[in-house]
Amino acid sequence: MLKFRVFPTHRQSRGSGTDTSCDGMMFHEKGKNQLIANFLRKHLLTLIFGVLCWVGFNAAGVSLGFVGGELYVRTVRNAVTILALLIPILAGMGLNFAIIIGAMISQLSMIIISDFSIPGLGGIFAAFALTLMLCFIFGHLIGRIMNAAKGKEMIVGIVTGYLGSNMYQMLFLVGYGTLIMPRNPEILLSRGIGMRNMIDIQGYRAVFMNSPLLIFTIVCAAAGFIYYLQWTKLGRRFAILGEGMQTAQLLGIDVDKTRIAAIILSTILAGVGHLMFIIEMGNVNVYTGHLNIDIFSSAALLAGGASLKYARIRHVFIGLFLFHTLFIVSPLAGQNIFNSAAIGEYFRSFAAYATIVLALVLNQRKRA
Amino acid sequence: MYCLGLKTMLMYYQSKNERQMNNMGQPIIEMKQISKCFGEARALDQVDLSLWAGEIHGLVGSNGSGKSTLLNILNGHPVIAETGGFSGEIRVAGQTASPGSIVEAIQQGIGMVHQEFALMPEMSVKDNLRAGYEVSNPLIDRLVGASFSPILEVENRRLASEALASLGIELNMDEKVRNLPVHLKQFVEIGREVGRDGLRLLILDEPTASMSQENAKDMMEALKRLKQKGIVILFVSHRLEEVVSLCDRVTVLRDGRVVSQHLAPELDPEKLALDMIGEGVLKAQHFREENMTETVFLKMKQIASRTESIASAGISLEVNKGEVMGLTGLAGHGFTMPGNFLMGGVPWTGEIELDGQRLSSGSIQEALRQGAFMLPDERKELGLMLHASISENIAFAARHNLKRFISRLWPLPFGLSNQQQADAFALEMIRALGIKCRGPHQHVRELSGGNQQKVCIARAIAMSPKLLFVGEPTRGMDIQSKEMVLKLLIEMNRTIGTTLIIASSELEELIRLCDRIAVFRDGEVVKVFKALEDPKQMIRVMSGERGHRDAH
Repeated sequence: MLKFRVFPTHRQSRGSGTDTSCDGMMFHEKGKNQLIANFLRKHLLTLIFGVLCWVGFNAAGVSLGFVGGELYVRTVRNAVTILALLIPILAGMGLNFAIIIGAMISQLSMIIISDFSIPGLGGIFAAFALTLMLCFIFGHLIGRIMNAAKGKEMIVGIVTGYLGSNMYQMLFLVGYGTLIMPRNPEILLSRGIGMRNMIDIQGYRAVFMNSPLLIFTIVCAAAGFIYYLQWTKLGRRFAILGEGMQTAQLLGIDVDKTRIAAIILSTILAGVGHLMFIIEMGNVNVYTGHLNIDIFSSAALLAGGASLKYARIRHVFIGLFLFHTLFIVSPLAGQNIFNSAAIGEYFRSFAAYATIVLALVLNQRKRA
Repeated sequence: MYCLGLKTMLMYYQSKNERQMNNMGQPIIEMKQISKCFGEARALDQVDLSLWAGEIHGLVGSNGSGKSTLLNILNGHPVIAETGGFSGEIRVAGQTASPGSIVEAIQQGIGMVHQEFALMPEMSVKDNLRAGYEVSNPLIDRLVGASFSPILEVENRRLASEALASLGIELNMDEKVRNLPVHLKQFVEIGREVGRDGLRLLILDEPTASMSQENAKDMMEALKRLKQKGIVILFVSHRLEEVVSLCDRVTVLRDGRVVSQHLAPELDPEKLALDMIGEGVLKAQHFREENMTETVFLKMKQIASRTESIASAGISLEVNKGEVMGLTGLAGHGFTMPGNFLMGGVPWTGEIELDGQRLSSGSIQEALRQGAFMLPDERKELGLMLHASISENIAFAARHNLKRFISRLWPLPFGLSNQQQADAFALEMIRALGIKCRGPHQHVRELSGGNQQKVCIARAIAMSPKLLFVGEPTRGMDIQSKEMVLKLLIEMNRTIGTTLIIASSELEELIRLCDRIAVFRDGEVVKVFKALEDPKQMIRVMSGERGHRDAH
């Protein structure tokens, strides 16, 4: 029996610290400075956000309790939507900007259930069930579109999102009142065609927010499901795909089917996540409620330390904490520093887009 | 007349072989009348091949002889279906079973180890060994569906270890595959296929192409173990000595047809080579020190990588003007790195002087201005624009760096590409270098490996470099193409006085061609030999006192 061990000459360190198992052979003796430089490079985005949060928190002059309370609300609103981004990254498809379609489906579901006047928890469960069903169908379609344009998933996701958004808006602007007659005419505009801008669902909000166990269960179940998925055959197939489509194909993995499964799961989680968001808000902003959820979720995940090729559950929660802390404190910090809350508002939008651009650049540099 | 003679000879060989092979049992795989066309080009023409249990069957042929197509058909590669399928019949254990996809091939007990690894570098050895067929609990499979069933890690670890043990290998199961040297990666690939239930046929495509001779021997020992288990091995290699020492039977393909079959006691590398190419091969030979001067042309002093992921100790090397310098070592020891440093592919620290001028780290422009050029070892990834034409590939570097193949339109401050000039030069090169193609406008991706390398050399000729660095110039090539490429390189040195640095793991070739050979170990030059010195000494230095392996 030949027993092999890997010598440092072959072991390529990846910022994993000093390689001391050199057996007297030369390898990189990384200095302390290099280790620090590596750490900074690896966690640049997270560190930038950490510093911004600290500065913003001090400038805003708010209490930790206030920030903590707000963060709880935002965790309910956003955690599952950010979790939805993990699976496509694991499967090598990058950031799934098409999660916006899951968000639109959840709005549509909520409007339908609200129109049918199914009250209380029953209504909430019905909205979840409808969301799951529609997300499965549309996730399948998005997956097929992405399979037709392999290697360009992110741009395809963005454009598919735009397409979906326009079709969705057309449905509510023109379809309601002409093709679709709602049970409750009150939700239509006064001219009888087109949906109102805002649909009130305060009734559902009251039930939902009074069931903290339900909220906690949904967030934990989503995170737990993704964690569990990593240990399943499907999760392993995602990981293999993440290492290279061609390799996966040569190993006999059905690449197209696995990619579709990744997008279906992502769309379902996005739908569930956004449904929690709108119920927590207590109203459905019909035409604009879904916009930008893809950008903000992606930015939060990247701020948590994920990259376009590597993301874990911890990145979701670190990102959620950092990104939303910045969101909470920036208007107040803007008010205190520049005497204008609007500057703080602009700043957070700027921060979201800048995070994605920076992550793309850093990712490209890593590849080079 | 010739065809008739060939056919009669072939029928004689086949009937003789089959008579002898019948004693070994029933054929596991039978391929009958297999033909395949890509467009108008016929890649395979009525190929018959039978493989018996417990046989190591060699498949040899020049680049473009149809080997890869035959392997792709057997392995159910999607490229076959996408290009119109094939005609003929494949029987697996007596049952008609033409694999239409890789999944089907695996189900029928056909496994393949690819020349360009199908491994996941960021995953562990264990996960790679069980990739695609992880074990889970059947009861939970039924409850939640196979996809959502958790993988039984302990069981998978045990099966992965067993698969490697069957090859006589023991490895740390948690080591990431990217950390393994090339030959161990190859073992992991074989282990993955061997671990599959019901493996009948194992196809190995150039398994030793990037291995040292020592590692190749380990590999062949492992294959002999598999043979004893009754697995059929289809061994495809350009290294005829290995084919001869390992195989029980060898089939020779030429121009898509089976031209001969040979049985073990009669195997002879010379005969095989003759059948492969249909004529004798004159080996390239360099008349040493013909152009070499005492002037140092390239001086590298303590060059080390600035990139943490690339290990290099600090290379010091001097190359004289007009010299042919060989760089060699075991795989993974960095002997191809000097080219990457020189041409700015990897940022470095230290000092590089080229033709008396000091270069800055990472500047390809400076190196090009000083007359250096590189043909990298990763031809397809770094050396060629696969989706561009031969003409474009040949002219590109010279057009952008030397302003050749450009028409000036006075008084405009810029020029336009002169396609006619480029095509004329490409045609000249096609004729001079014997590039097998339809013309200068054919896409490079459609050419065989040897012809792609010739296109690279043509590009180097267009650049007329003072110093040419070539990485693994003959990797994955047949014997005829190899010698042709080596001759071309020597011609460049002889006729235009190009200083050549050839980084290669083929020591025999370097000994034939080079004035001096620098041996690398652990990312540094350990010793520089005169080419005529004892090769055994070179191999000893290459392996080092501290070998790569603890044998138990």
